[in-house]
Parts: sequence; C-alpha cells; structure tokens
Amino acid sequence: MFKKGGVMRLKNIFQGIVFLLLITGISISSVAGGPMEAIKETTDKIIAILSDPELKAPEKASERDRLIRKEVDELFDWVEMSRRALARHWRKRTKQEKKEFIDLFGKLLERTYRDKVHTYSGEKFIYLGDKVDGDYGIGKVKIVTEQGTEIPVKYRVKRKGNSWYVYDVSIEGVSLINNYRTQFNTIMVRSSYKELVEKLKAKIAEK
Amino acid sequence: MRKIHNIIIFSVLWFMQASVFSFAESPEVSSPAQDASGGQVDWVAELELVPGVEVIPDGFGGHFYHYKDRMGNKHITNSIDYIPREFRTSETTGVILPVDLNVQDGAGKMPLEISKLEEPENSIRDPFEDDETWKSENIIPDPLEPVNRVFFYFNDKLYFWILKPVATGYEKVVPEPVRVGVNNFFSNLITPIRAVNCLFQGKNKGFETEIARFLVNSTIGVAGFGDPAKKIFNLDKHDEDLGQTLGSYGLGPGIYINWPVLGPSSFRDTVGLVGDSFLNPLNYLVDTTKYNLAIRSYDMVNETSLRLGEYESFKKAALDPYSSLRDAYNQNRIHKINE
Repeated sequence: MFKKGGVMRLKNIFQGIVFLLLITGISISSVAGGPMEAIKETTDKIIAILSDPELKAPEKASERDRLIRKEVDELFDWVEMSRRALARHWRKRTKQEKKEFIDLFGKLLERTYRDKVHTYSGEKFIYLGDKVDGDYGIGKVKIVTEQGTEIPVKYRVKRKGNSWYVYDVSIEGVSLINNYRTQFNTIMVRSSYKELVEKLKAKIAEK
Repeated sequence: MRKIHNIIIFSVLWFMQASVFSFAESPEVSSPAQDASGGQVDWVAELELVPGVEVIPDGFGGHFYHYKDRMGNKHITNSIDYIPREFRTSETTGVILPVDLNVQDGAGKMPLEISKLEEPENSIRDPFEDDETWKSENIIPDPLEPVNRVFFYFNDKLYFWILKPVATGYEKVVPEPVRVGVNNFFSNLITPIRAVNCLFQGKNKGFETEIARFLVNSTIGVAGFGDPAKKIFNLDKHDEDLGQTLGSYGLGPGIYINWPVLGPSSFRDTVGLVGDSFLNPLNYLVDTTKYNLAIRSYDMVNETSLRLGEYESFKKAALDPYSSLRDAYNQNRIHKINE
C-alpha cells in the first residue's frame, strides 16, 4: 500500500514535470526576445558586415553603408529619439516639421554611428545583461578594445509590439539623447528652430 | 487524493501559462515609429538568404530551425514565422535568436545567456518622460559662458594648431606599445591620488586594489610601463579623484569652468584638482617649474597621440560643440561619482 502510493506520487510528479516542460516550450515560442537579444542580433550582423572581406573594397563602400544603415534602422527608433531630444520644443512643431526633423536627426545619428563602427578592429563585445520594467528596459554592454580599455555602454529600449527599439545610448555615463537635448536647447534659446534645422542640414552635408 | 493533486498541478500550470501569455500579448503600441523603421517580420521577408534550413526537434513536440543568411550568420528560431517565406510550411508565432557561432548542437539550447542586472527599479524607466521640467542635476549652471566659450575656442585652436601636429609627428616616430607604456607609467605615478581618494570615499577594496596594482606594476611591470596587474591578476584601476570624493559627500559641481589648456571642469572639480596636486609625486620629484611643465606637456602629447581623431569625431557629431562638451563632462562626472 505504502509502496504503491509512493509510485503513484512519483508518476504524478513526473506528469507534472512533463507539463511544465511543455508549457516552458510554449512560453519560449510566445515571448519575444529580450532587449539584449535585439541588441546582440544587430551588433552581430553589423560586425559580420564590417568583417566581410568582399565588402572591404573601396568601391563597395556605399553597398556596405547601405547594409549597415538597414541594420541600424531596424534597432534604433528615430522618432522616439527625436521626440526626446527636442523635448519641450517638440510639441510646438507641425507634422511636416516633425517629419523633416526625424529624417535629419536620424541621418546625423546614423552617420555618427557608422563613422564609429568603421574603425572597428576586433573590439570585443561583452553582453552584461538586461532588465525590463513593463514596456521599458535597459541593456548593458562592455566594449573591450585591443589596448584593453573597457568602455561601458548602456542602451535604453522601448517595446513596440513584439520588438525592442533603442531610444538612447549612454557611453561612459554620457547619454546621447541628453547631450543632443542640451545642444538643441542651447541653439533654440540663442536663436530659432529654423537655425537649428539649418545647422542640422549643414552638419549632415559635412564630409 | 490523486484528483486533488492533479487539479492543483493543472491550475498552477494554467495560471503560469496565462501569465506568460498575457505578458506576450501586451497591447500593441501603434506609432509612426513602426512605419519609419518597419516591422521585424517585414525585414525577415526582405532579407536575402541562401537556401538550407536544418530542422531539429526541440524535445517538446516542436522544432528548432537553423539557417544561415548571406552574411554567413547562423540563425535559430523555433517559429516558422521568422523563417524567410520560401522555407515556411505552416503558421506559428515565435521568436528569432542569434546563435553563438561556436555552439554547433543548437537543439533545445538557447545560446545567449542573459543575466538579470542589479539595477534600481527607477533606472529602467524613461528618463525623458517629462519634457517640460529638466532634472536639475542634468544641467550644470554656466554663468561664465561667454568667458568659457572664449577658452573653448582657444583650446580648440590649441588642439588643431599645436597639439595635433606635434602628437601626429610623435605618433609616427614612436611605436604604439611604447606610447601605451608611457601612458601607463604616468598613470602608475599618480596612484596616491586614486588610492587616497578611495579611502576618503570608504572604498577600502579600491584602496587595496590600487596599492596592489602599484606594487605589481612598479616591479613586474617595470616602473609602471606595463600593466600586468590588469593583464595577469585582473586588478582594475579605480579612477577616483578629489572632485569625485567631494561629489560623493554631496557637494554639487557649483558652476562650469572651461579652463584654458586643462579643458572642462567645475568649481568643485577645480578645488579637487588643486587638492590632488599635493598627492602627485611628480610635484615633489620635479619641483623646478620649467621641468615640471615640460614633463606634463610630454604626458599630454603622449596621451593625445593615443587619442588622435577622437576630438575630431566628437566635433563632427556635435551641432554646438561647446554645450555638447559641457553636458558630456557633467554627465560623465555624475556617472563617476555614483559608481
């Protein structure tokens, strides 16, 4: 009697484990990947593009830039970034102005990013981890250069649908968006929005 | 008895599943962002792929699908949805994960291990939520702006007209390992500044590490030119100074000061700089002003030679380099004080 009960219990527990595994299996396929996975995926692809010997030739430069831009566009949310960088000046803009601004600011950030990664020479990316709270999250990465210098990078991400989009990057504690926010505000206070757009256009035209 | 047991297991599992699904089906935020950057599914459909998908049972009745894109990156997914259309056979939902290239047996193994960060809850929230009021710590008072801008201009010209040409020439004749060594030497020399400030901030571990680093690097590291403390013993440098110590005591930066030659600083950090100079062995070893300045200039040229191009790319990204540098300085100091 005692023995039989023990076996039954074991069988039940076993059943439970099987169900648990089944449901974990389901949960894996129904929950979107975390912020770190999204960041790693894009970083891996960009490193692959940068290390592709076929794309290293000078005449392939524009093709390579196009591929990088596609990956960067996939991860970075230019709208969220523009809104936060313009801050209180955002609401005063017309729909047309907003559209133009997103385009210009996105181009500037993209170029800055591209210039930075162009000098990629085997730096190691260490994915430290992420943390999520509702639709917001952060992901931390450490870049280790060949000289051994460690650069802490923090991504701020927002969930939209099933994907994570980056809306701010901090390097050594310096938030990119906060930095542009200060600059844009300085320019707007000293002159005007028109001047800011002119400056953005001139900046993008810079080689 | 058995029935109750099963009911409990089922209800627990059902609850878990329900909570998991409600997490996954969080309300979709429709926003122009998705139009601008495109949904992830669209991107998968656009990606050009080389044929070849491996199907491996995941042990739970489903499958893992492995394939390579044309960049040669391996991808793994347990969802048909995320496989390029030409390989799709049925409809499910799921997630795509990049595969670590050295993990060959992908079956059932999630390749990327993600740790949960120890972060205060409020640090995850959107710091830009409120666009009307600015967090006061994010702006540093700058009543001296007109003077600071003049010095900024001066430093800019100092870099492009003098420092950069000299450092470029120096870079050409002195190999990089030597320049890194010289940089290490100067860094090792000012260990007292870091060590004492670790003590002031109650970072006893940091103090011990700095002393250990000094002993190792001054001996095995040949007077500090090498950094075996980091390379062999994995002892990290604790970058502390008096400005940070004062900051950790709750003292604000006061006002922003852009010094000629020295660059961005604040009232608090200038006081710190003066205090730290008493801990700098260089000031005791070489007390003739002329030679002291010569050594400092050499240190500056050497360091610049290792950072050529950084200032240029900073300026290229900035619309107003002056306020960009001011903000970067302020943010970086806050970061270091909170560390």
